[in-house]
Amino acid sequence: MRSLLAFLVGAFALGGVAHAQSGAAPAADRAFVEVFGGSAFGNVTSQSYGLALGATVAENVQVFIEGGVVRNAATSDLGTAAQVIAGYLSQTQANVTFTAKEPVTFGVAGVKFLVPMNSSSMRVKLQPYVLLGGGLAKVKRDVSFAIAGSDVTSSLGTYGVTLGTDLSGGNNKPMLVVGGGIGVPIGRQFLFDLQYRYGRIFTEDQGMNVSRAGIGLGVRF
Amino acid sequence: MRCRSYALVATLAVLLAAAACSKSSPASPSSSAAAAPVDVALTPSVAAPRPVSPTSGTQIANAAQPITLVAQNALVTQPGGASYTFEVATDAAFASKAQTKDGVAEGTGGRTSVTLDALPAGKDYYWHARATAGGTVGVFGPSLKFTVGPAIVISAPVPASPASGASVSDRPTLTVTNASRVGPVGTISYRFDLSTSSAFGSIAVTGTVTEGSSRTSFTPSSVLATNATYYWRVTATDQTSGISSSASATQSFTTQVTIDLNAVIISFPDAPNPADWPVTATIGAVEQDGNPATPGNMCISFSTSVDWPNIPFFGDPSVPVWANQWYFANIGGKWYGGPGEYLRAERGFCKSGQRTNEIGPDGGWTSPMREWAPRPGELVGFMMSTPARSGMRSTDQRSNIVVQPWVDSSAR
Repeated sequence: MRSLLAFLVGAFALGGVAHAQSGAAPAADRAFVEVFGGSAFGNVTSQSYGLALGATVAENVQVFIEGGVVRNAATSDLGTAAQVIAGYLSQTQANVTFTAKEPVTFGVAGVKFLVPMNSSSMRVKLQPYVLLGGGLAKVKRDVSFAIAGSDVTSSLGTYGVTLGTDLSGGNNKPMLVVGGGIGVPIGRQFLFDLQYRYGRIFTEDQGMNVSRAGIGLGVRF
Repeated sequence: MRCRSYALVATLAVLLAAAACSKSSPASPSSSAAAAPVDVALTPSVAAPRPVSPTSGTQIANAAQPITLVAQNALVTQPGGASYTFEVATDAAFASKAQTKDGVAEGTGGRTSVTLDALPAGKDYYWHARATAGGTVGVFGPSLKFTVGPAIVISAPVPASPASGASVSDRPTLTVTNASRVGPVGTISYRFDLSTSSAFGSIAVTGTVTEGSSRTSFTPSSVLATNATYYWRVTATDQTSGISSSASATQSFTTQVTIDLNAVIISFPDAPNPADWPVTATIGAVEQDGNPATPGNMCISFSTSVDWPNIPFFGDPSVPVWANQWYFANIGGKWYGGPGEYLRAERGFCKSGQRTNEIGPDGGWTSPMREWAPRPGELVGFMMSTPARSGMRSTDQRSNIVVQPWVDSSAR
């Protein structure tokens, strides 16, 4: 994480140098701040949201950093394991239910390439782009069990169950993101971003693929 | 051109940073993050194994040990490689553990079992099991209770009769006082072993009988060797548990010929058969010599437990008599016998004239005893009774019968 931050500082510095070399970009394109939100798709469907920052480092090249949350990116393994435990509880208890979620908090940094548009009028209206980034994802296994509506997760020991890390806790894993979108400038300072991201979280078990599709609303500087 | 170069450098830097992040892992989580492991294999979740047997409340005989505990295999979210721990305690809280079996490999068929070492008898026990898999140590499952019954102890039987060293018939009845016992025994049987060796190197006769009320007896099914010494001992066994006592003390006896008065052919006219007369006297010794060159004395010494009265010899009070000597001869495989000489009061146990060739002809017997002349070494029976000859009767009592070889010193 420290090396990534060091890189970003250097990237911003390079961007400033590149900007000085290539000639001043329009004042509204030097940097941006954006909030985004949308749906997340993987083994399950949920919501995601976050914040992105970026800066132009060269013509049609921006560096960015974004962080956010995917509310549930649970793999099939998680549900299967939870079902095993729920089945055991059901042997002696009635009305056993469970929830198995795997929320992800992520932070990535990368490079965004603005696709050059020949028509100056199209460039003003649309800014398609592709991006590539990498970072870390904090994956949490949020599993709970209930018996007749009462949460017994913290007292599973009394029912003879010991949760392993496959159904509890969490860990940090590398994440790779590729994606693209279309930026639509709104006025001189605002930006509307239709975006798609594909993320791969490299977990110890079956790995997690998380796709996000949504919209962002940003301010251009 | 420069802008594109910088963009390329920046892109490469991002890719390198991403690759570096995927390879390196901090040894410990950062202080701002939750305490979550990085790059470690996920550990499975474990549900406790359920106990199968012995079920709660089971009563187990002490003799039925060792006991095998069986538990249903635990549910594990990552199957394979589970091991089990079984605990046995004398209290439900498992504060006082009697036995722990750890590292028991998971069994096949959905169940895992372990055989315990012998537990002290006469106690209640509680048991439970847990599973360990992939680094996750599960909790113990439900506990069940079982009871080990009291220990069964059977003492050695005590020989009652015959007394050690006694002379007995060739089919003696051996009797022991029943063995004392502790614990829940069932039917007890007694095994009688007879041997001609005190070391019981080889068993001549053996027999097993069910316990009697207070004593238990055994009679060999076939006759033993005559004039032989046998050693005998008895072992008691609980047929339910299979637990046996130690062997009783070794006793001995010597077989000798015996005469059944019920089968004797009384060979004196009008003489009674004293088979049913009470035995109130015991012969101490029989000394005789049939040598024709001797007086032919026959001395049968005996003692009485009750008074044998004197009676007048054929009405003559000056000749008080109180007993008759009896003689028994085995002729042609049958025993013949009858009352012989009278014993006169105050004149001891001996009578003369009982020489080899006179005891028969001079006895007043009927045939074939009248022609009987015992051979030296021939087994002859001797007995004493109250007067029983020629109509002379008093209180109808008798002694035991002694069988011994005829002595005739002329044959030496």
